[in-house]
Formats: sequence, structure tokens, C-alpha cells
Amino acid sequence: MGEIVATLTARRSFVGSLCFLAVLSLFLLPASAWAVEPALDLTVKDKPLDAGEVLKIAFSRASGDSLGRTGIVRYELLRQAPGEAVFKVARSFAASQRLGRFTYDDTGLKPGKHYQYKVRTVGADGFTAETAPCPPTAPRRQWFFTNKLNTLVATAIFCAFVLGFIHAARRGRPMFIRRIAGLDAIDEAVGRCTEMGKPTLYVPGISTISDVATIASLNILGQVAKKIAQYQTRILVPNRDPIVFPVAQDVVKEAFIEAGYPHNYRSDDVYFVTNDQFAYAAAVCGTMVREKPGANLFLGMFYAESLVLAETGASVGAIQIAGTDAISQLPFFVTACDYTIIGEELYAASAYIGREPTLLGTLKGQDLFKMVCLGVICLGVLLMTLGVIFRGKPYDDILQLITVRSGS
Amino acid sequence: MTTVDLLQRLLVLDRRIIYALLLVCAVVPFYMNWPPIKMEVSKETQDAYDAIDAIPPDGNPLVLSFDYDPASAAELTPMAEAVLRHCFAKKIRVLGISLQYSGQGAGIAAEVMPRIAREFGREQNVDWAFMGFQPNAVVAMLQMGEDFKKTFPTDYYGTAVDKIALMENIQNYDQVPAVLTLAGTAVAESWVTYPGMRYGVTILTGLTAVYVADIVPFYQSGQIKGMLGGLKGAAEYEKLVAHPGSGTAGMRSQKVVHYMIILFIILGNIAYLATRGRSR
Amino acid sequence: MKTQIPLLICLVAGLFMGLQYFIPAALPVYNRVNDYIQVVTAFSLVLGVVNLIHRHIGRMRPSGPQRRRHRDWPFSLAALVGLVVMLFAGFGTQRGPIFQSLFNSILLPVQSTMFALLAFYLASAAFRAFRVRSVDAVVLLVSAVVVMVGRLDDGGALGIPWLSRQILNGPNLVAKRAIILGVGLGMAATALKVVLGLERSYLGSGKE
Repeated sequence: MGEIVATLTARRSFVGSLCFLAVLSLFLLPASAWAVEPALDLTVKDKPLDAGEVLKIAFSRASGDSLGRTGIVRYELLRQAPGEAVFKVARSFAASQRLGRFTYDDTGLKPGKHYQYKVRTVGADGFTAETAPCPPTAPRRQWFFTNKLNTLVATAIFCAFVLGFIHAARRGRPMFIRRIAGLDAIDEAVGRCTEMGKPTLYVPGISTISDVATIASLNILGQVAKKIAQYQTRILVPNRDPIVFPVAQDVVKEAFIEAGYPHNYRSDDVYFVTNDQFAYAAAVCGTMVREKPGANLFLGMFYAESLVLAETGASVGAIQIAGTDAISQLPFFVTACDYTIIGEELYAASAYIGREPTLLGTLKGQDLFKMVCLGVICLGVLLMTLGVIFRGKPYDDILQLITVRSGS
Repeated sequence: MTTVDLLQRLLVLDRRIIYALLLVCAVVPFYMNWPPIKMEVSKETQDAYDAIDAIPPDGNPLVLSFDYDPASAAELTPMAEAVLRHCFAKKIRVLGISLQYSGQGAGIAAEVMPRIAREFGREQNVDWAFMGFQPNAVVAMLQMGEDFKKTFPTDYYGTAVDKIALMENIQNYDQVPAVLTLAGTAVAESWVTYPGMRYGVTILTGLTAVYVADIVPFYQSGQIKGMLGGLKGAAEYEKLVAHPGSGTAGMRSQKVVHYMIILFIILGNIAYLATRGRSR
Repeated sequence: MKTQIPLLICLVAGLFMGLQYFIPAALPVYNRVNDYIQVVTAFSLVLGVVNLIHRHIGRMRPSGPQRRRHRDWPFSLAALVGLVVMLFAGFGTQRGPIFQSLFNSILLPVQSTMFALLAFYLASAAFRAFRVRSVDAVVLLVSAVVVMVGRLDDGGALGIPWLSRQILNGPNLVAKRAIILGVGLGMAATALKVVLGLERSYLGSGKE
């Protein structure tokens, strides 16, 4: 045991001496031994498909630099803007970061103006090395996302279909719309509430005003509120979103005025509950249990609270009509509600209830475009199959034309 | 009372009896370590694990977005814990954010991240950081595509972003190897649509079971590279990191409850078929 | 005028948002608009909170001919106390231990409980709904059972997890994609109607 300790002590003193010599030799070395190498492979490129205010810069570590452990402290990116005589520091990168290659988007530049860059390597004692300046590069402004050409064509066709059918509808062309049981039942539900002397509960979903489902719901709310006003019963509209709330209040108020019963409108019946999903669900369930509405209308965007609302509504014996484009919530509504308006039927509701020809025209345009989409899907399947059988060209190239691509 | 009478009663069973039985079935297995669970890791979970595992240690961080509220915590917090354990054990840095609209996701992250980091002795602002929340998810996602520092000028605790070592090299999504969003709402879809499609970021998702079906098409199309679904996904990830936690415990309850519901469906149908003639 | 100005704003904003999708040069303006949206969102919350306080204080005040409080006034009191306590805990302690402790010990369990209620509702709804009334209902029932078992660790020998995946990724996804296609077109058509001012019920009366 004693021998082992002695050996270790001896080794330690030997290693210690070596370290001391190494440190001493470092002090005795000439300054040139500290000289740092410049960074490698500096590239400056215009950011594609943007407003021409960004250049993408990248460079690699200096040779011999190993994560900042070889005397290099940082790399400084220097920029010379148009009209400036000197390079100025645009950004500094710590050399200790575990990156092989540094990347940076230089933003806020002027489109079409030429910028030059170089990278300065900074050592621990202030020694520096610089790369040669890159060739002058200008950010270019683009005016069209070339990768979205097929989307633009599809959008144009869609708009043409919709506007064409609106025009036809205005000229008196009859428009057939199939029966939607859930929407027919709204009348029945409101009538039932009137007979029973109970209020109607209208939940406009829990999403924001930027959600199209919420706008569709508010459109239906206007028409439902008008009917309720005519029947002289109450409508309760609890809101989750603070922006949807004043819009809903205005929609109901206007509907009561239009129906000729402004004095029956109670501002307290359209109210903001909370921004929180399940606290909102709890509050609406509480309203159902206390107020015992004759009908519950859940129209708009819903998430996991859908079944909580629908089951509570079923337990208080209300007639329930739900409508949402939230696909994962549809099974819950189908299970627990009397009628369910599925997906796009929600968007058709306003046209269906109002029977206004221009709105019906949009439905026709939408349907025709859906047929075009189905045709394109079949074409895509065919091209892909042929591409597999005949190994690529020309089928893959044609397929590219109808493929929606990502990027900005 | 005849068997048919009994079955007829079963058809109109008081829902409170179902609730009481369900409560027992959910609570008892959670504390009894029964029934045994033998998880097989699904491809979706393995893909998520592999994508995170491929991130270089001590390099650019995984962005972990706590996009859920306390209501979904039972399903999603076990995922967060398992993923953090994986990262911290492999010295992968983690940048926590929250885009849950009411800010409650931030409250969860502020509890979970420091706790797991302490387990592994990882240092705040160097190995991990939590930047707090932004209320408008889509806008924040787009802003991060331009400049993270503009979206999060300070972290959750008020430290200026320039003083956070982890953020030194983070400018936009170019420096982010992957984003894992833990969500129970449409935020996950927005991550795919905006950072995924616009900026080409690798998107991974951890979702509540009810929301999985909505997001599966994106996984199939390759727009999502890996996916953890519900308690099962959490339990699978716990198996991969060899640290069974509340996800695995929750699976026991889920197992018993699922079988209880199936039993009730079968009983309900037997009663329905046996009494159908009578009711006619 | 009351309707025309909002319609004009809607038209301009809608057209810009549609066009910017195709024009890279418009990105800076788009980013600026996004910043404004953040500001509007923050202010809208104030609007909601003001309404909340107004409504609940109104319920607590005695009113009507008999000078009675609303029968639910204790709930209103609880809501207001909760609002004030969380507000002061948040602002006063800079998200410190009091705020975090209130969050962890009250909000988290309460909300988790609300979400957990789903399991109870799901059980009772499944019990009532899954009856073999028709061939369609049988298909639905069998699929439901297979998918439920598929979410567990059992049934591997019978190939149930595989079958469950096939159901989810096959027929389920086909139906969903069909609905998604319809919903997408419905959204686009509704957006077009709103932008062009054809649909104006959301503005109130919808008439001049």
C-alpha cells in the first residue's frame, strides 16, 4: 500500500514539473507563436424569395481551432456598407460554441446596394487575423414567389368559379341546395324553446375571430338571434374570446333591432366568461344546469371541451345542435347531440338559412372547384403510378407542376 | 326479477354508477402498480427519439415548446419530463418556450424545466433556458423565423436575452436543429404550416391522444418527423430513456378504464339485443 | 357609412393578406401587421376583463324592486377574488414563489380535473351510443373496440395494434381528408365572401 502511494506521489510530482515547464515555455515563446489563423470558407448569399433586405452569411472555424480551446476567443463578422470607408463589426460569435460552421442572416439591408464582409479571428491576447473581403454582394428584392405559381393559378380559378356563379345567381339562375337536417332543426329548436319558455344557449366556439369557423358561427348567430327576437324569447351567448365577445354582442343587438324588438335585448345575456378553455367549459356547463335552456347550439371551432359541453347539455334534456369543422370533435358531437353539422356545412349555413342567391352562388362555385380538385387528385395518382412504372420522366416533371411546395 | 328485467334495467343504467366504477378503475391501478405494462415502442415515437438523439451535444438547442395548459398536463408533462431527461443525459441543450395563448403553459414549463435540470446538474442559461410565453402563436412563430430576440427580448425570469449564453448563436430557425411542440390544440398544426413549411424546420410533436388523429396526416406526409401520442407516447419515450414515470403509471389506469368501457359496451349490447323483441 | 367603412377596411386588409402570400417584397409590411395584431390582442384582453368585472359586480349588487342580489352572487365573488389574487401575485412577485405556488396548487389540479371529466363523459356516451342497431353501427362499434385496445400494450399476438393503425391510417384518414378538403374550400369561399362584402351578417344587421 505504502509503495503504491509513494509511486503515485512521485508520478504526481513528475507531471507537475512537466506542467510547470510547459507554462514557462509558453511565456518564453515569441509572440508570433500566438498568431491566429483566419476563418475559412466565408460565403455571402442573397436570401432567396424575400424583400431584398437580408444576406445569408456563413463561415467555418479557422484551421486548428478546436471549439475555442486553442487560443481563439471569438470571430467578428465585419461589414462594409455602401458609402462607408471602413468595415464595422456586424456581429460577434464566441469561439467556444460547439459549431463547425457559423451562420448569420444580416437583416435590415437596403435592396440592390452592395455590401462587403470579412471575418476577424480574435485570439486570447488580442492577436487577430482577417479573411479577405468577400466580393460585393447585393440583396435582391423579389416580386413573386415562383414556387407558388400553381397555388396562384388554383386561387384564380377558384375565385373565377365563385364570382361566376354569384353573377349567374344575380341574373336569376335557380340554385339548388340539398337539405341539411341540422340546419332545418335550428327552427324547430328555437320554436321548442318558445313553447317551453326557456332560453336558447348559443356557444360560438372557443376560437378567435381570425378563425373562419368563428366568422361562420357569427353569421349564423345573426340569423338565429333574429328568429329568437321574433319569437320574443331569450338567447344566452357566453364568449371565450375577448374580440369575439363585442362582435357577438353587436350581432345579437342588431338582430333584435332588425326584428323590431330592441327593448327585449339584454346586454347581460351576451357576455365574456374567461379566456381559459376548461374554465369556460365549466362556466357554460354551470349555465346549462342553472338556466336549463331548451336548446343548445354549439356552432364554431371546438376542442377537447366539446364532449363536456354536449354531455352536460344532454343531461339537462335540451335539444342539441352542433356544428364544427374540428374533425376530431365531430365523433363526440355525433354521439351526444341530436343533430350535427359536419365540416363545410357550417360554412354553407349562412347561405342555407338566409337563402340569399349571391351566397348560394358561392356554394355552387365551391362545389365545382371541389370537382376540379378531385380531378387533379386522380391525375396526381395516375402520374405518380406511371412515374413508378416508367421510372421517372416525363411523369415526375408533370407531377411537379401540380405539387404544392413549401418555402416562405 | 328475471334476467330480461335485469338487462332492461341495465339499458337505463344511472350514469352515476358508470362514473363511480370509472373512478375506481382509474384511481386504483395508479397506486397499485397493477396491471403490468409491456410497452412496444411505435415507429412515430422512435422517429421522435432518433431526431432528438441526433442533435449534437452542447451545440444548438432543441426548441421545446410548452403549448398546453394544465388541463392537458396529465398527458403532456410526462412527455416533457422524458424528453428533458433524454436531452440532459446526452448534454443536448434545450430552449424552452410557450405559445399557449393564456400563458399557462409557461407556468408548467417554469416548474418542469428547472426540476429535471437539477436532476442532471445542468446549468440554467447555459445548458437550458426558458424564454416565457407569447400570446399570439402564429405571429410569434413567424417572428422567430426572422429574429428570436425580437420575439423573446427577455427570458421568463426577466434576464435580458443578450446575457443568456445559450441564445448567443440563436438568430432564427437556421440555428435550430428541431422543434418539439407539446400541444392539445391547433398550435401543432400551425408549427407545421408556418415554421415547418416556410422555414423548413424539423417539427416533432407530442400530442394529447384526442388530437393525434388530426395530426397523423402531417406525419404520414413527412411534414412531421416524429410524434408522441397521448399517454402511450409518453410511456414509450419513458421506456426509451429507461426511466418509467407518470406516463407508464397512467397507462395502467388507461388500460383498466379502456377494458371497463369495452365491458360496458358489450353488456349494453347484450341487454339491447336481449330486450329488443320486448320493446317492439 | 356605418357599414361601408368596416367593409372597406375588410376589403383592403383581405386583399393585402391574400396578395402578400404571393409577393416576397410585401413581407416587411406583413411582419409589421403581425406586430400590430399582437398589440390588438393584448388590448382586447382588457376589454374582456372589464366586461367580466362589470358583469360580476352587477350580480353582487342588490337590484330590482326587492333589492336582491343575483342568486349566483357567491360564484361572482369567487371569480373576482380569484382575478384579484392572481393579478397581484403575478405583478407583485414577478412570477415568484406565490404565483407559482398558486398556479401549481390550485389552477393545475382544477384544470386537470376538468379535463379528466372527459373520461367519465366518454364512458357514459360510449355506453349509450354504441348499440348494434344497424350494420353501420356494428362497423363503428368493432372499430372503436379495436382502436381502444390498440392504444394499450395488449393484443399484439392478435395483431390488434396493427389493425388499429390500419383503421386510423386507412378509412379514418380517407374520411378526414375528404372533410378537410371540403372545409378548406368552405373556409376559402367564406373568406372571399367576407372580403368582398357579400357576407356581412357578422357586422350586425347586414343591411345599410
